[in-house]
Amino acid sequence: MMAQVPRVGITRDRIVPAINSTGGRAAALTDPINAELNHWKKAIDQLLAWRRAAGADDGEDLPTSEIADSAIDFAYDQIGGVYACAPDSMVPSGAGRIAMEWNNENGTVVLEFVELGTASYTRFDRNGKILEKHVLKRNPTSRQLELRG
Amino acid sequence: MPTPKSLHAPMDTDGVPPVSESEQLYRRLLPAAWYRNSDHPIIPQNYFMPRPWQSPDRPGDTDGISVNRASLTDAITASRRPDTGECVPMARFAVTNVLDIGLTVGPEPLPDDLSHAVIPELNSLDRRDSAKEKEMEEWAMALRNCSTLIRPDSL
Repeated sequence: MMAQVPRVGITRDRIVPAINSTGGRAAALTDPINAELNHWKKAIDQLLAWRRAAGADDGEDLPTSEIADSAIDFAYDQIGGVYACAPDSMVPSGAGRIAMEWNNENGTVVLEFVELGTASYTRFDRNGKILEKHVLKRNPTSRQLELRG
Repeated sequence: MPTPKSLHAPMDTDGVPPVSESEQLYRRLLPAAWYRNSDHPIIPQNYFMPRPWQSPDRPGDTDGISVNRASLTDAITASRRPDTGECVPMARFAVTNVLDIGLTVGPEPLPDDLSHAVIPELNSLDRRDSAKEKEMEEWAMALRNCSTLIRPDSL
């Protein structure tokens, strides 16, 4: 029997800040869910552009196709999670990686895709101190990034 | 007043003055970035992390992250990528910010860029250690939080 591992679902309030937790920014939008979907779609367009460029440039800073795929999978899954907030930024973070970042009044969350199906999750408080740091693996069944022991 | 030893000891400075506490620093940001709000982007914390070590052929930022000293260059020159000449956004922060965090700045002049310096504690070799990486993440966040974004179109 497999040991039950704590699940850290990406799509709700645990990792990706929910729309309701972003305060004024979301509240100021007349249709926050559609606005988030539009942000996600633009983010996915960027990820797809990086995915297409991955094979064309051997530069150290461009994301690899495998890592871009992982980020795209994650982003697509968020569109189904209506409370998931799109990131404030996405950047190639070196060594083929991609880092997504969310900020709100409570602090910052950084989700860095480091290899195929694997991401590093870091949550900072408002003073920049790390509250949580985990390695997450994508569960192909649940389609979620989960904490693995 | 902080003691001079709190600054990184100058290496081969080739006539470049040691870094002083009154200086400002620039760090070029990678141009390939996506922002939710491109009119008012928040500088990503990751821009202050060293490129990770991958292999001996791709060792990342082994000497630390690069910065340019505002006292030895101008903002437009500092914003130019050495490889393409493209002007890219930069983060600007003070040497005192670096020292307050507990880090140092050391001059590392290049043949074509005397203003080049490094923050050696933010290096790819130490980043391989998870405990040190965690410490770096907080340093990088602290640097981000005291930085000002400089856009090329504002220069």
